[in-house]
Amino acid sequence: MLGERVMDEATLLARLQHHESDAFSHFFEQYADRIYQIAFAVLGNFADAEEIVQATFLSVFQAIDQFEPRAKLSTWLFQIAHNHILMLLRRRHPVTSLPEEEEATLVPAQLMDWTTMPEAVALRDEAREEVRQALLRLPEPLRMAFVLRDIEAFSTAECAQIQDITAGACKVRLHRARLLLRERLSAYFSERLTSAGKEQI
Amino acid sequence: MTCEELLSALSRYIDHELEEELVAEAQAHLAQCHNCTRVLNTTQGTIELSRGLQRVKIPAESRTQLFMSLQRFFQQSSPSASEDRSQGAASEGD
Repeated sequence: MLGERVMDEATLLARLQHHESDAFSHFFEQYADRIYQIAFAVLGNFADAEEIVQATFLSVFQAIDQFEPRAKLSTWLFQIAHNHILMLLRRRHPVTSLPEEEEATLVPAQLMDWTTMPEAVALRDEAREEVRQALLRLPEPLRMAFVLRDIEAFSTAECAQIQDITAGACKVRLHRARLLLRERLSAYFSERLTSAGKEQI
Repeated sequence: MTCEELLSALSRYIDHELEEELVAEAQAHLAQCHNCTRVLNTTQGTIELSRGLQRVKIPAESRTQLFMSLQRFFQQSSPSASEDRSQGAASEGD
């Protein structure tokens, strides 16, 4: 195993294509948890996330000899992970379009500014769980855009490549995801802070 | 800039991707519109909370199993392993 040593992508690819075992270890160590993290955020299930890690690496190894570095190796890996996540989601939930009522909520209805309220600070951990659950209720394309860009901090260009869409489409999905999550999180804070206020009276 | 225009430009404003003159228009609008300021603050707050979501890692036992089964597949898929297998099959046939 290569431990902490950094291996650049070109070297890693060449060594993977030569099926060197230390390259495998390095590749797995570098990316397995990240894929697991993305899959868990999108699917909300540990067993599914594990399945995605396995399926992704198997697909990569099946095609590694034919891979031509037009894209980055890591981007290609995440594209494959993304495709496996989509396949799994579509097997279970064929409908992926944004329902009309979701479109309606893009106009902000919740206008409490919980970011400036000291009482909201104590709720932050619980609110994160609310975000995780709200994320799972988003339509899949929006969920994926939000996870890749706002949680995993990929650039817009990388997000677009991974999802095989234009940068413009990626930005639109991200924008809608943010507004929908904001609405749900604001409703949560509004309810919690209002009920806390009533209890104090 | 209207509230509707601000809302549609909100993500680009947050990501610093809005054209300079539109940034000035957005800031002027935000300075006099409390509701849009609340939407901006809570959208940024939502992103910030999401970035703080706890990272998950593959549990150790599953990770070892995954590593071993993938490593086996990786080694078996190497051209030299296929040659070895075909040579083995050929010599078995002899």
